[in-house]
Amino acid sequence: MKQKNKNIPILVVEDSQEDFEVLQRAFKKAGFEMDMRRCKNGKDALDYLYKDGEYEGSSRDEHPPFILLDLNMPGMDGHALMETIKDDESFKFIPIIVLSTSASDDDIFRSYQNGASSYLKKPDDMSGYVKMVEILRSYWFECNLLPTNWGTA
Amino acid sequence: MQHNIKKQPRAILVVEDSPEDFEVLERACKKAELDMPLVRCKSGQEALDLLYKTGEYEDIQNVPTPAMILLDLNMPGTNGYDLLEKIKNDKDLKSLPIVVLSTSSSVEDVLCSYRSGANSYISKPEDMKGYVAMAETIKNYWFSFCRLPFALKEV
Repeated sequence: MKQKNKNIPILVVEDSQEDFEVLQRAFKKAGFEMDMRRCKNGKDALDYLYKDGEYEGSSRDEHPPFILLDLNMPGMDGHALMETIKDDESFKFIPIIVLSTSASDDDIFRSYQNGASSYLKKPDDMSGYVKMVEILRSYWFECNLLPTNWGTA
Repeated sequence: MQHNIKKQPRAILVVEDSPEDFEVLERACKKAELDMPLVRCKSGQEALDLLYKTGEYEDIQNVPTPAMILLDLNMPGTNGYDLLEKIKNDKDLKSLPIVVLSTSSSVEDVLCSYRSGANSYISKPEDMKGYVAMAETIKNYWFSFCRLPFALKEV
């Protein structure tokens, strides 16, 4: 079950530049070529989705097929962003996978409660990240079917 | 929020009207060494009875707490969509991950399921080999890598 339309970027909401770069390198090392769009916080991600603020006038007409979401961010954090997205009929179908340093039962429970599809704890090192990307690929992009323009080939 | 949950035996709740499909899934999970009991409900209504401890489940002790639900869409009576909507609109149940497992791979069914709150959508594999691969992927992802909520209301 290969999915097509790989040119639609997935959305990564992550305030840490280092963590984002580690994630990018891990995708590369795992041989998983995936366009990524990074937003630095919840507000930036909403602007991106609603084509507001600095994204106003963007000609993009697809929604991201998948969101990787950090929880702890300044300003609008991951929990608040999830509540907003999952309250909006035009975006609520986008699967959100939380990727956080936190492994607290409270963060995990709140995330699922707010509509996260799944919850992952950030790995400790590069080999953990590469393994995570491999597991993400085999589950979400090969076994699972994603919504919108992501039909089966 | 309920955090005082005793760590009682957990299970995968499979909502599936077809006995053949359930048997195939059960065999595949065994082969994949997915070490989690499967509890089958034959309809959406039965699944609601299990989750709310009503009807035939009213007096049954030790009903396992589901760690997740594998949900067929096309069933007589309360179908998969109805069940999705009910669970995802109930604050005591909505954190329960629901993976749709359906013969359909239509864009509409996929989109509708996510809209109704499905956590994930898998189209049923065509043969045993595909089922075993799926069970292995589910095991590696949901039961080894991913963090599941442990704060479901006790049922």
